[in-house]
Amino acid sequence: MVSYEDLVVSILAASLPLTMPMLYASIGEVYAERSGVLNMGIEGVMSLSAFVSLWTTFSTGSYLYGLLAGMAVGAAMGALHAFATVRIGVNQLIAGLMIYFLALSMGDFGYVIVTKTTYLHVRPISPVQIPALSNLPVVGPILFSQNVLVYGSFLLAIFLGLVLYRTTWGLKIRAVGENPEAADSAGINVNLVRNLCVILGGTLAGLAGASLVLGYLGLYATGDTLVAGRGWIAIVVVIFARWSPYKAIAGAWLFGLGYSVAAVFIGAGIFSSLGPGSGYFLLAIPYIVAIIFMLVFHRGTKSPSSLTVPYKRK
Amino acid sequence: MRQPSLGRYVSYPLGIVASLAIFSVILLAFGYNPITSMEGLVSGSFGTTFLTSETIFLMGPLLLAALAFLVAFRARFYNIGVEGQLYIGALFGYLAAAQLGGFPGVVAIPLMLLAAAAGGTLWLALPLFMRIKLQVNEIFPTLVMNFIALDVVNWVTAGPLKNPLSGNLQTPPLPESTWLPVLVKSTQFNVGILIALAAALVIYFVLYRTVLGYEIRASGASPRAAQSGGVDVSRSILAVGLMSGALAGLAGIVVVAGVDHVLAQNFSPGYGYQGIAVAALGSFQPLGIVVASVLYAALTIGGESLQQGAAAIPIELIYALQAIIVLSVLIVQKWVGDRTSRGR
Amino acid sequence: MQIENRNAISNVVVAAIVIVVLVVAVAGVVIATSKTSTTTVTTFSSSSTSTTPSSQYKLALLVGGDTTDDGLNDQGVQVAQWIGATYGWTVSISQDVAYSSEGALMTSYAQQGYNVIWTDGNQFIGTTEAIAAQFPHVYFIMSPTYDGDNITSNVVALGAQNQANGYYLAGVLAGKMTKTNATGMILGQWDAEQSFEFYAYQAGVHSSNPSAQVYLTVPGTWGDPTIGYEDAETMINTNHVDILVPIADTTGLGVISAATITNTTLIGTVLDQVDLSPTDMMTSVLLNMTAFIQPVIQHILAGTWSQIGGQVENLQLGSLAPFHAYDSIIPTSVKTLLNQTAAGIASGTIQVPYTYTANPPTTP
Repeated sequence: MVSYEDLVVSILAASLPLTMPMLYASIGEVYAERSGVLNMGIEGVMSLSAFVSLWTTFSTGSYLYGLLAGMAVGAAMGALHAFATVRIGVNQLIAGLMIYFLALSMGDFGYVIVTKTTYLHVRPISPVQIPALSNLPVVGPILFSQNVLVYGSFLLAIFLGLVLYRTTWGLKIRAVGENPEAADSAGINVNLVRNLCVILGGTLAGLAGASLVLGYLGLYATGDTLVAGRGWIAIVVVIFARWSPYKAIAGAWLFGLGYSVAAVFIGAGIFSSLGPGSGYFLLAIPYIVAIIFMLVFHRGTKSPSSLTVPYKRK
Repeated sequence: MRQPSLGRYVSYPLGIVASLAIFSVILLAFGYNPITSMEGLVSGSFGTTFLTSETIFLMGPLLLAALAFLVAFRARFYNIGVEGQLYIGALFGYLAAAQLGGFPGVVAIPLMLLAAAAGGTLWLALPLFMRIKLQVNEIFPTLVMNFIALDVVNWVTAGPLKNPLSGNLQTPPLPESTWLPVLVKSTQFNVGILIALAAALVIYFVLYRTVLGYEIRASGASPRAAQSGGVDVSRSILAVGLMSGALAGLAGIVVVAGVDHVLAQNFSPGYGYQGIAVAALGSFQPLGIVVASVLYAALTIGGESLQQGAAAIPIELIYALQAIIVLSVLIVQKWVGDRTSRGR
Repeated sequence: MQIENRNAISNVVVAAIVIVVLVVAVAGVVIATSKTSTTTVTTFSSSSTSTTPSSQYKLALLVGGDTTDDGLNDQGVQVAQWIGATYGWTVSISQDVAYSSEGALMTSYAQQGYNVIWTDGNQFIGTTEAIAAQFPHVYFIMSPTYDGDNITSNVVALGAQNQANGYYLAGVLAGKMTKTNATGMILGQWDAEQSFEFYAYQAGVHSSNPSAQVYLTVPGTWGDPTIGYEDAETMINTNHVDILVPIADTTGLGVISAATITNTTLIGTVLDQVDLSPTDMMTSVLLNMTAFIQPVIQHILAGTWSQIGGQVENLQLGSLAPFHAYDSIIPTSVKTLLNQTAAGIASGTIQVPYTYTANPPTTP
């Protein structure tokens, strides 16, 4: 039977690549929502960019091109959402959901066409062995032998947190989200800030999808089985994180851990005595934790005041 | 409040035309013929009795899901959880039906429907409570509960309720007395669509002809103004929550008792989410939604026929088209509406 | 009147241009690089050497997924197209058939005069039985497994144990090829009727290598590549498995990916799945669908349906796919052993166990 130590190590090690795409996506959404725009389409954008980056890397052999292609597609979807919601003023929830459908089906469509002739699979980016640290017992393989995309997500979260809280750009974004009228009077171009934040959110969602392929699974699957709800969870993480990129690290990792526990328990046959289908019970745990969190911490979850409200100059 | 203008009625067809233009461009880019594709869509959804009945069948859950989203939307309660509520409603309806086998249809079916409605409402109860009492934005709890609902139904159909005689992950069949009666022999045209249409009329009546409906719409248009005008916004939200969950539960049981006759894993290809698209396409009006559900269902069934036809257009492209249509209509409507409406 | 903000407009115009450029670019690249692919549906009516009646037959196939699975659904489509090309029949294929649409679709085909309706996928079983009873003059074919009692005489169904031999052989091969004495099977879901696949494999492994461990994981879902990936990793890292047998559809894609990355050997299922992992797919346990269907077709053409209508118990349908990259790695002695085993099974001297249990065993 599997030892406890093995289990813990497996769970922790698996939690990091599981966290990575949710973290990228959620910090992007933090920026979008901080400026006042909700983007519900992340799940679809991640799926589409996963396909695009997989195909690009498969065809060109370059991880960089794949990442760029995924980010470009994400940016394009972000621009579409920005156009519909900021420029035109369509209801943000509905527009986001339509983009979810659109991006998801476009990714699946592309995959169906391409795989008529070839099966798309790439070897994910190799892990980086951080010298000395990766040799530490237990902690070494878990924390210090991940690939650059995993580390990148944490570093980017910290960086974007610094930008949001310590730069004038960040200040403008927060101002726009809290009180667009005042920001406008202060000379800030509200809609420009929103457009840029939404496009950034889309770009990071694209990066999230690309990282799922190039930094973890190396494959694509249709019918939203690849992203499998983690794009939606990224939106929930934003609330967990009280719209802070720093806290998004903790929030995304909490969910990554939840999935990881479920996967490893299923793999080790734990709880299988509950009968067939018990795996689904395990898979539901991260979501149950999310609901409990929302119940317990409801008081702190005050969103940016202008979230989902389009801004029109009077 | 803003008066609907001529622009609004023109903008809708304009949006459809725009989306068909975009769709044609995409088709051409991938080597398909737009003209034959459009023809294929139409003949593929209404060309034969079967296809028509399939389209009509599909309207049932779509319409109910759309109404579920709509009624809450009008009070600014964003119920994204329709998908989960329809699964739990189907589960409750199944459990009730399994006990009601000995009763005749006139008794069993309404009880089963009631159970399904209760199941859907129950699943919305927690997010409803969180919104009313704790001021938690309902978008996120309802969304997360969708996943939990899916896991619950996947678990029971693979485990405790699984039919040991079937190779598939599903329950034993429902008792025949609980099967929704078929109206036209050998088709899928069953009572489910009538239930959906009746629901549309009821919602229309409630929203536009009752005091409650007025309060709901006032709460949605401007919660603060409504509150100061004496409307209890919380009560409106509670009312729409109960209705919304019930409608979602009905959406689920209509599929299970109307066509599948078993509760099967993943029986919903996303009706809950598609219902939101249909509601938007119907401009969030109950009667408009009826028309929109016909259109959306026709596109889906027509798309399946196109996939089988000589051109073999993958169905995913049709799904993309559905999204493009809704988005285009919304964009054009809003744009035109902003330019032509009187008063601000 | 609204005073539009110029910066906002120009910014969004740029964004719009980005979108258009991307769409056009993607479309252009796709057109330029896609080879002429076989369409998923064709109506074949090639002139065949047989007499005219053959070309008047119409076959409909229903599958629950699409050809991207490189497995059951893909195989169904390929075999159906093969029937059209070989016999000149008119063939229509419905893919991605949703559960709720099964009945109407089959009825529709029956009413359009299709002579043969073939449903490929266990989710069709109940519906096929019901529709077949309504259309006694239409022939129905059910695959990949059937373990019930209730078919009318116009139905032929493939018995559930059809791949048992193949899995036994695969086990024999794995037993000999494993260097860590540990091999593992990952099943999407445990189903009593199909559990023979595990037991046959296990028996095969132990027949050629009694000390080897046969591990089993049941992720519980057919559609989650991430879980499949993680479960495979767990098997590889903690159980030191060096040969993996995924029978898990989309979940299995994750298993295959994890195996390819760690250079773990794979054994595929249903079709020759070497394309999914050219370097690591040692062989696949084939479900010889053509061998099952061809006699059926011939009986239909000859008018002798009554000789095969009913459940077809055929353990001879499982065989091993070519070894591809492993052909030079597998020693001749092992290949000889496999041939001997196959001969033994055929002659009856070796008995492949056909056992099935309601719940998975706690292995090893």
